[in-house]
Amino acid sequence: MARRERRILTADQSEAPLLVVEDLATRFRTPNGLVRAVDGVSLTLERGRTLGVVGESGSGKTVLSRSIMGLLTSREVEHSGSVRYRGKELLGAKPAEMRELWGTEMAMVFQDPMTSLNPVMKIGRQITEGLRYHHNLSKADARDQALELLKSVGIPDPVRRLDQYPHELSGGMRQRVTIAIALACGPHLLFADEPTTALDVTVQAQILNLLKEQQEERHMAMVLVTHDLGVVAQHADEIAVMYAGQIVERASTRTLFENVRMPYTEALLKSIPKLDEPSHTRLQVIGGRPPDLINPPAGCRFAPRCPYAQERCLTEQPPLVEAETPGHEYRCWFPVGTAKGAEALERNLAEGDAAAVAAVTGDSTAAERVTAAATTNDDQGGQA
Amino acid sequence: MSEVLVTSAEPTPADAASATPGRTRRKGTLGIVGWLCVAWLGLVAVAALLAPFLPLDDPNATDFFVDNNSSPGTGGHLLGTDNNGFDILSRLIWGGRVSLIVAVGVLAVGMVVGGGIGLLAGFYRGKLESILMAIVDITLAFPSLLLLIAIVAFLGSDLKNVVLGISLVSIPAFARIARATTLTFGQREFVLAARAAGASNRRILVREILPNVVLPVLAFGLLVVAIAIVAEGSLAFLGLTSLDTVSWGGMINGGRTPLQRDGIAHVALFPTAVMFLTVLSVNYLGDRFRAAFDIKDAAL
Repeated sequence: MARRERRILTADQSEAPLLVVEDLATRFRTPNGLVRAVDGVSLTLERGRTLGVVGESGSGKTVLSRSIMGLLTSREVEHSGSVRYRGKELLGAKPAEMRELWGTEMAMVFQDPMTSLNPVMKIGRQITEGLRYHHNLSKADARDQALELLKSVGIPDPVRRLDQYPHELSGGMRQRVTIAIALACGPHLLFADEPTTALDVTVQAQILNLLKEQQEERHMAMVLVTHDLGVVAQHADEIAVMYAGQIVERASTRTLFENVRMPYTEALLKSIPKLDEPSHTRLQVIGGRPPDLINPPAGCRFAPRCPYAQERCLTEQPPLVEAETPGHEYRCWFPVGTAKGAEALERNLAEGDAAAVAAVTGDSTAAERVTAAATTNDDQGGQA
Repeated sequence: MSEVLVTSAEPTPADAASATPGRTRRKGTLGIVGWLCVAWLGLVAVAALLAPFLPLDDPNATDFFVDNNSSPGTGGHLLGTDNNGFDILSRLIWGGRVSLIVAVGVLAVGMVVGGGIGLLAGFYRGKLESILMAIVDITLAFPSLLLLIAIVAFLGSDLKNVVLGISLVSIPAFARIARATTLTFGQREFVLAARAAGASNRRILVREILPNVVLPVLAFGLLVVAIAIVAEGSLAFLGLTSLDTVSWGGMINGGRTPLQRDGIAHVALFPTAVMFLTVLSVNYLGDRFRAAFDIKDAAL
């Protein structure tokens, strides 16, 4: 039954986008209140494309990818909105229906290969598990396929690896194995949740190239979650910048880097260390912390840390608006690179606003003042 | 604090020397004491298993040619005879069977029932966990020796009931350890990864979590085995087990009279020593295994 359904699904593949997410919200019930981890996110993704989801820690990237995949099934989690995969609504689908999709249609590569492999199971078994129960392969066939997979993800001496345990492999090798496991049943949508964060820098590029290679070969769609703009710049077709559970800017990679509109994105870009700067140049940081997601600020969520912030930003939440380039959306009242934005920054500088001073001069003490101010705001919010 | 800094800053010959014992403490190496424990337990187990085939006197036959409580070595009795003129060595070996049965029985029942309860409670959480753990807590609230005595008194004092009683008393401990271990492994990313690959709950429980939980629970189980052997000994010492069954506890009990009345120590001393060594060995090995798993976890 489920198998037939999948065949129908395959028939109309190129028609609609593979994944359509509309106004998705994920909230966690906690003793302190409702945490709005993902708050009204919409996106679409087609086969063969890569969407980079960027943001600092706690901006809801991981929760977003897990929500789309339907992995957050605890009773403390509330979802609303819509997630359609090939036209099929996934929110509220039964666990058994989701199990039909997991592995075969969508798969996930996790952040830390040290913990995402079962320490007491041989590599070979971990790869063949899915093949055996999804594709009903015999033991020998599954083993052959596992061997092919290990070869395709570039693991040397794959025959021996099949009978090794995870602790016998290095971090990079283990991440290759988790990629092999994720790819085993030929998914069409791959979530890579910070796949290189736990790895050595030299291995990062290898793993990202491997993902890209496999994606092109298999014509998969990929959601690449990371906090590293450098990573998405090279590997994503489109980038969604997340802040405090919302998408604050979305554009094709080229547009985003050339035409930043949202001050948060600008701040992220500025905080990337550059090779052509003299050594010991102070890294530009974003002062302050992301807001409390139980009581998010009334206005723009980035306003307390934003060098461009005006009165309006503190009271009125900016909607996601379209920029001149089609497909480029942002959330800001005083966007970067416009007359309005320049004027706002000017005004803040004249007033000696800490965030503005920090952003323009790179003054770290000003950045600390922003942090201190944001902390007191948080405390007041907590008491209210 | 400052001491630590000094030693770490300046590697002394002592550090180099201490690196070697550090190495011997690694997983899979037991050290001399560990191997002695293994040897002792092996000796006890093999002797107990082979008791019917060994050239031993009947443990329940009085030797009328020597005195009761005769010293070790007299009349071909290597360890002497007891208050009834029974051969002590033979009784020790046959008594080892009881300890062995108690150990294996309690471990099996505890692992299966207690481990099962803990696994289910720790994995499914929610209402099931509340109910199961409430039952476990209630069982734990009974004074265990009293419960044991009640069970033996009601169901009869044969070995099967003794094993059942001790198992019942030890189930809560197994359940709690299994639950705690399941909780930690249940939150590990490989479980989520298995789910994201489309594995069902049952498959995750059996394939992903169970193999990880078995070893720590087994290591803990060895400690419970030591307690179980002592518990059986206590029951036998109190005369609450069947008098037909030869057991170490019963032998110690039997040695009380010669010790008090005639000042003859060996009748009580031999079974006490054997039991002490056995329990010590089991405890030591249990501790070692637990440490080994800790190291393994840290290395991951």
